[in-house]
Amino acid sequence: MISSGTVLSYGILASFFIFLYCAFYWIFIFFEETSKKASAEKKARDSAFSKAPLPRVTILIPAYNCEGTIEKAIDSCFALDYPRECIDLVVIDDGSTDGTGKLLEALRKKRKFSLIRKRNSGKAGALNFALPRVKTPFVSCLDADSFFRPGAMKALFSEISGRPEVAAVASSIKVHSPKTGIEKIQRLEYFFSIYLRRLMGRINAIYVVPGPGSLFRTKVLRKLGGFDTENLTEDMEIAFRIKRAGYSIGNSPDAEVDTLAPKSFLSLARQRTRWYAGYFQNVEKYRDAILNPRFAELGLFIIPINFALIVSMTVLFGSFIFENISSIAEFSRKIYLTGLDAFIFEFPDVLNFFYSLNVLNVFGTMFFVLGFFVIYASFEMSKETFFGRRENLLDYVLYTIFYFPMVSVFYLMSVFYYIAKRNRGLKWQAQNFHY
Amino acid sequence: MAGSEFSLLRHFLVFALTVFVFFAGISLGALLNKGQVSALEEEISFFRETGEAVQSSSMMADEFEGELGCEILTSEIYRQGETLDRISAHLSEYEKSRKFGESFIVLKEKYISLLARDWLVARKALRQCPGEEKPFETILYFYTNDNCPSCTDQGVILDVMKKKFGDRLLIFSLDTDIKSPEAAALKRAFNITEYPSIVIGKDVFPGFAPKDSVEAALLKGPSLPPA
Repeated sequence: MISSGTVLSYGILASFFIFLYCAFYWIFIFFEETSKKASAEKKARDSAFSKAPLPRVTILIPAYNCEGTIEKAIDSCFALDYPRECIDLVVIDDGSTDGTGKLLEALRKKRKFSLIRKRNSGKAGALNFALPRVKTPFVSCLDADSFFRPGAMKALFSEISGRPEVAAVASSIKVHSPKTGIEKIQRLEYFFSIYLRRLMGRINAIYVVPGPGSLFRTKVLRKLGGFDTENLTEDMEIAFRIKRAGYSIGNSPDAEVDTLAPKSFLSLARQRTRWYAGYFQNVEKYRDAILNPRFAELGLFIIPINFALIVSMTVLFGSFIFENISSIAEFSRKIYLTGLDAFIFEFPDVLNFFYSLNVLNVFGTMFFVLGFFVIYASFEMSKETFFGRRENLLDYVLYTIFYFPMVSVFYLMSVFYYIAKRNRGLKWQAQNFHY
Repeated sequence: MAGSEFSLLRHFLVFALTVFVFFAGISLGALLNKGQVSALEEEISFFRETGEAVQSSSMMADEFEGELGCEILTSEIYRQGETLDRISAHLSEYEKSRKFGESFIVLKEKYISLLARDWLVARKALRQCPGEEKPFETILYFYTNDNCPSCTDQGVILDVMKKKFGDRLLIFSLDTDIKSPEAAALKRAFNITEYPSIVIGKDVFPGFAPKDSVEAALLKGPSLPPA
């Protein structure tokens, strides 16, 4: 009879194998992406783009109860290093109930942009409402709590210009002035996303065109019927639809967009439950992509391995929690059995630490080193300097300790949320917020 | 085309590298384990040697009756007690973090045999050096790792007692899952039929003994000096 402890040990080792495989996979792609060949390709694209006339673009900003950020979002569009006459700015007030409507009216007196007012139908509904009015060949979406950096639009275009097979381009999103611990953890996570998305771009496996800042070919977006209003993550759903239609999705590491990130654990939990449940919703919707050679690396590797990673992360986090709960339970039992004597302190023997080490610590050290490489590379790809700011090291420690347990909890929550909602056959609610 | 080509070569290379590093990790873990076992071996061999010194002191106490012999013997036993505590903590830490193999079981057999020897010497010393104050007290602790939650509880209580009484308390923990003729003989001698069981001095406490009973038994008779 195999004990549950043995099963858990093998589960942990299998999880390590999967994590190692993924780490090396992305390191391989990293070297491909940073190779001379890739740099030459990028240079050639940039050079071709610099000679071509700049295309016209409509920026759509769906706005719902965002009086605190909408002005800054609009201002960021006007501050773009892009000819003003090539930009149509359209703000859709999606039935805001706070002062957003009034503020937009006031802003229109200072700034030239179109304002559409409609009843609330969620972000996807708001974008679809504006789509027929777009008269430019390209459309860019910007969340109302996100802000373009000046070079973003040109950078987005440099990845789509002259490449008819590319239907959309994702930007590099950074957390806007992180202050709380939760925001600081997300700051590193977003850098990691920049790194990962760039590498995914290399293997044509991007499966989300994030809402905070993106660029689409208007014709393709219309042909595909716009955004799905009953999807938890419409920006992922449209990406899957674009891929299924045979187009590619580009990534522009130079197109920087700042976004507000959840400040508290609860708001982050809410956002992530929606994001991850949205992932499950889309993978179910596009299940034909799984192990489908037409979707190449995305179908044959990325989607299946994501599931393996979710399971592995849960196993590792589960064992971590089990260990900690066991320690707490042991100490509680000690208090129960011995009263105040349980608190008699004794200096620990350093050699005890040596004897407590085992193979798990070997792998733990490996992952810490690999993780450091990945975070360092993420900083480089995000054009940030890791060693330039003393707090980065502390943030990295925070990230290492708290991020994976947190994400595992969010994944579990989203699995329950998704199954519960799906089994009740409820319609997915339209989303109003970026988070 | 939905995506660029799937690169089988890349996956093959990644797989090969992963297998190599994974097994390198496993081998490092095995190497670490080997290092720990040989460090434990050294500690146990040191324990054997210091135990021999205690035996010599015991003979000296036989030869030179009275305070001189007892002083030497007691101080040697305290020293041996420190080594015993250290090894016992290291063994327990090692056992907690892994499933152990054959080499560790052999090591533990040796350790249990040394424990039995030291317990006998300690008991003899108490007979040789009677007085108003007991210089130390001994506890023989019989336990099993096979589904025995009360053994864990008993271990917790003994651990706290050790912290309370310090080097005046010598605890000899006998893992009955390890086949040892010495442990078997002690079991027979005290008629141990259930686990956990403890023997304080020569009083047997079958089953789980709560903190108050253990403490009362330790303070019975000639008192223990404060830690």
